[in-house]
Amino acid sequence: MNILISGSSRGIGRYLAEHFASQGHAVFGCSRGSATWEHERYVHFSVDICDEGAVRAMLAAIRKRSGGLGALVNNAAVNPAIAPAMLTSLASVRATFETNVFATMLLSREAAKLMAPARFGRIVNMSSMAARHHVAGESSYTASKAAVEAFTRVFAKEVNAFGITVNAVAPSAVPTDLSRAIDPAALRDVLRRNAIPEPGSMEDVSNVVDWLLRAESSAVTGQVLYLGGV
Amino acid sequence: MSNSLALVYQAVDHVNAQMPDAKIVKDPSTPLLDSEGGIDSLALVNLVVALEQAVYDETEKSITIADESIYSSPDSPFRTLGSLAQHLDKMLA
Repeated sequence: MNILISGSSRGIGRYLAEHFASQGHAVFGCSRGSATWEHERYVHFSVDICDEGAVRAMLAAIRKRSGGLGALVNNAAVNPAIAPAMLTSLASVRATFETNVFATMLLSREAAKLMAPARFGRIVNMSSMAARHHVAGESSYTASKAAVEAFTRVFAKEVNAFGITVNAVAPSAVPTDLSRAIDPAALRDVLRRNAIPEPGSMEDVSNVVDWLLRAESSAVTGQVLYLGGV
Repeated sequence: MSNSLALVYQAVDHVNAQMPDAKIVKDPSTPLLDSEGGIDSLALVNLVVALEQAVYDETEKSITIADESIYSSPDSPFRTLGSLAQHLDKMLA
């Protein structure tokens, strides 16, 4: 399967890209910067996913190279403003929504166009337990992930006729650059609310994404899967 | 025949090959909107996707047919194959 993963230079995105490449899939990844790792089945695009023209050009290049796309993982996300909403700049709110929401919608739209002719596609959007825990100081990030979940449910209905499923995965706190920016004590507090009060692992995420990508998972769509017992 | 209409017909060929039931007739007056006796929404989406890809293959221009201009236009470009070709003409101008 041809798989595109955004934010594949580090964190969960890189883990998933390496995971799928090692399984024999053709993996395309993107990030603002150049590739941070190599694999014979991995192709990297240095792309700003908030730039509509650049995203369309990337998808056109993927179509030329491989004819279509089987799966998209919208993984790239930012959390630039961990601060009370009353002290958060509008520019920071916009930046959060640009990457977390608008780029997810843009990539999904263009990816679905490559999936539709084959009547098969899998779109997985990364959400967050923040969307359910509503943690003080994370208003922009939380609102953006709530938007991602709403988009997931609506887009699932729109593309079902094309054999495309759209789901969201909300990992528990997985050690990444993004989660390391959060105050450890505050993170422990949030994790205590989960059935599993410890951080999750990369393998937890790949396990559920593997399952969603399977052909047999065609009836699973419009769902948000929370890991860690949120 | 304009280059835009030729690209539209190329996209029609692609959709007809992919969806034999669609049977889209290559004529500028062929209606597209389901509500006006046109093709079903699946075929219309496939037609738009095939057209965007045909434009890219021909011109290396990456366009989105359903751009903001369609909301400000009094007439939808998706009425007929001919209106779609006219819309494409404007986009490529």
